[in-house]
Order: sequence, then structure tokens, then C-alpha cells
Amino acid sequence: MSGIDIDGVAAQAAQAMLQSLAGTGRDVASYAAQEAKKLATSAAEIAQMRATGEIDDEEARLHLDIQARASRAVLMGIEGVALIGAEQAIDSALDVIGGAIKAAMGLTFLG
Amino acid sequence: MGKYRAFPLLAAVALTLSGCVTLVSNYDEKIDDMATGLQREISMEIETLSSQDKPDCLYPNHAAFYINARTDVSALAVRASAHELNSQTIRQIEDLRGALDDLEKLHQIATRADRCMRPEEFSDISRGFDQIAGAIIRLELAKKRGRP
Repeated sequence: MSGIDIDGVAAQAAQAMLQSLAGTGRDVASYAAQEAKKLATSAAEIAQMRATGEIDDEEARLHLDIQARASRAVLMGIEGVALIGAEQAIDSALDVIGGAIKAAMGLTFLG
Repeated sequence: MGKYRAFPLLAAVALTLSGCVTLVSNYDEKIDDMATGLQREISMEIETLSSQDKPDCLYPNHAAFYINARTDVSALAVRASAHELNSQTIRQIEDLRGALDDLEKLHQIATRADRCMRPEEFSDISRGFDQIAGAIIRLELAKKRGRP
């Protein structure tokens, strides 16, 4: 559309997102790739509208800001889901610890 | 007995953690409902705006939408802020408010130029708002933590 290599930009953006989200797992990787692709696609559409004079610089900036906010909202959601995953991991660990304590000492305070 | 030496420490750590491992607030049905309602409200406005001609498309004819939507976003923000450990949802709602401000400015710019917004502008705007509202709802549903 505007000469932007969507796949190339998407891959680089996904990599940047992945570096920020290190350790949050395969689901996050796939999610980030989808988001980078959407952001790159939208940016290309906005660049095309600017190039053809349908919108001016200020309008292009506002359009891009909407897309940046959308990507950030999705990434915030991923962060929240990852934290909930961490909660569940800790709970699983506590189950194991609780089982070991119960077996060894007869204490059942971990349920 | 040696193998039990670590248990008092382990028990103390487990006791400390037991029952307080909460990193994100609990599910709030109200936030789920409000975000869903806002998505519908904004989507309907974008759909309406994209199909209108002058003078119906001009900003003054839509000013009430921005007032209503901003009021609804504020109510959602207040509700989200009432929960502890809810920073991700609060930031998502801030982005929804910011995107709404951006849309209003785009609408005002077009009206100042005595024209409707371009049809080509609506696809990425619609996608952006759907992403934000969808992300808020998805996170809220995840807070159910597998509970119905």
C-alpha cells in the first residue's frame, strides 16, 4: 500500500514486544505477534491516507495514537492474565508444599 | 529427623503465603457489563457516523454522544479504581478515554473543514476501539480464574 513491509515491521515490533514480556510464555508470543501485525497494518493504512492527502499530519497523529492505545490496552490485558497465571502457579506450588507438610507432620493448614 | 529440619521454615513461608496469593483483583460483573455496553455504544456511533452525509455527520450533531460516552467511561474508571490490585484494568480504561478524545478531535477537525470524516478513516478507528473494549472484557473474564 505505502511501501511499508508489514511482515518485516510486524516481526520487529513483535520482537520488541516479546523482549518486554520475557518469561510470560507461548500464549503471549502469539498474542504479541497478532498485535504487532494489527498495529503495522493500521500504520500502513494511516500512512496511505496521509500520502494521498485524505488526512493531514495532525489527523495522522491522532489515528496512530488510537492504534497505540489499542495495542497498549491489549498488552495490559496480557500482563493481567500473566499475573493471574502466576497466582495459579503459586497456588499449585502451595498445594505441593501443603501435601508434603501434611504427609510429614500431619499439619493441614494449607487445606 | 534431619530431613524435617527445613519444615518449620517451609511451614512458615507457606503459612505466610496461604490465602493471600492475589496479584490481580477479583472479577467484577459490573465492569464486564459496563465495558460491553460502552463497546456497543461506540460501535453504534462509528457505524452511524460512517454512513452519514452532511450536515448530519457534523460534530455538533454528535456532541451528545461524546458527553454520554465520556460519562460512561468515567463511571467505569471509578468502579475499577474501587478495587485494589487493578492497575491493568485502570490503565486500559485510561486508554479507552484517550482514544475517545482522539476520535472527538478527528471529528472536530473534519467539521472545521466543513466535511464528514473520510470513509477510509473508520476501519482502523473501529478496530482500535474493539481491541480496547475487548481487552478490558477479556481481562475481566480471566479474573474469574476458572470459576463460573
